[in-house]
Amino acid sequence: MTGWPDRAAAERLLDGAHADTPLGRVLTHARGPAGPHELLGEGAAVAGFRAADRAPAPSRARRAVSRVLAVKVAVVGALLTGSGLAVASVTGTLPGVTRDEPRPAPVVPAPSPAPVTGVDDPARRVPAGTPPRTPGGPPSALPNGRGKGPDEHARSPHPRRNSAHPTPVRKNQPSKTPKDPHP
Amino acid sequence: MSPCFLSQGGDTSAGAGALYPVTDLLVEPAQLGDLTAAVEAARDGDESAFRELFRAVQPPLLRYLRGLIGEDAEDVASETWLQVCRDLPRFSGDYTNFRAWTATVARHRALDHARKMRRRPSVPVPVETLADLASGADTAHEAADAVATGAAIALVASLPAQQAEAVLLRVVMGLDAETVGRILGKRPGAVRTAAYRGLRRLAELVPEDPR
Repeated sequence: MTGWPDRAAAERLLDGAHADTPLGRVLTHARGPAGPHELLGEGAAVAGFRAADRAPAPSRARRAVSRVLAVKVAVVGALLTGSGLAVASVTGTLPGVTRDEPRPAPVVPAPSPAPVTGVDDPARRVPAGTPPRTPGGPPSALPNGRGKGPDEHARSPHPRRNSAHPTPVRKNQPSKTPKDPHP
Repeated sequence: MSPCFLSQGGDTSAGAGALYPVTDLLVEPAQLGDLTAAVEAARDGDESAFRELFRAVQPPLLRYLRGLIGEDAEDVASETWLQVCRDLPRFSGDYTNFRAWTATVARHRALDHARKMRRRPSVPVPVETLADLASGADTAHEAADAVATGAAIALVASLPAQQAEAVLLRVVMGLDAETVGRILGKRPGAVRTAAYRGLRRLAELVPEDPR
């Protein structure tokens, strides 16, 4: 009798068979009828059911509102960081970007190798405003030939600005201007 | 799984009859009652349908929890029902799915509770009631039924935890091995093995009739 139940008999016991055996009677008792003491929590559960029945609508609305708010905050944050980067890069307060911006300057002298130092300096000296435009504009405008006039107009203001505001330029220049005279 | 398997013979329902021989379906009618309509009505806010569900599910749920965490079963059961009420609008499934879902919620609440309490559940087995339990002598009265049920649950709860849980979910909650496997995160074969070993151990505990 030590071998009982085997696997097949165990499955049948679990399904409710062999109810006339001692083990089957134990399992029958385990799934026996509900006693009144087992239903004492009905009042609290029904109260929870009533409370939950009213709750879902506002909670869903709150979730929707919070989602919209989260999206808005994310978008505004992205815009702020993006515009902040733009402002910082334009004003030169962003250390990583200010060093990158003078680099487009060599694009301008490329068509005319002779006045390298002359053109190079005004491009570097531009403290605010249009450093990306000056390197971007001339290469496309110069081959056409139509843009020569505007280029002259565009170049001419820069020295004026540089002469008017020499102080911010010196921060960048001292390291680079000594290099130019040596060659 | 449905009551029609009992009334129909093997000829008309060949597939179901092959899977579930009629002789094995000696389960109590309360276990087989299909309350899927009540589940759907309760989901739509029908309070009387919810009461019907509670009266059917709470006793087995309480017994399962008593096997899991002992005397704190009532507290965990009420926490379980609060969560069930809250999430019921998003539930979809039949009565078997509902019982499985309720058992899953109860299990999570019980594990949280045990973690909070930081003590292992210990369910003392009333040894003196084992003989009465196995003999089935005093089942005529409700009080005797309650005592016998409590003793049977305590006896099952004395098994190693995995065996006890497999037996309780299958016998008391009336779930099949596949569903229990999903609740416990195990394969159905592992659930069958755990329940089988639990029954073998129980068979050693209760006085054996000569067979």
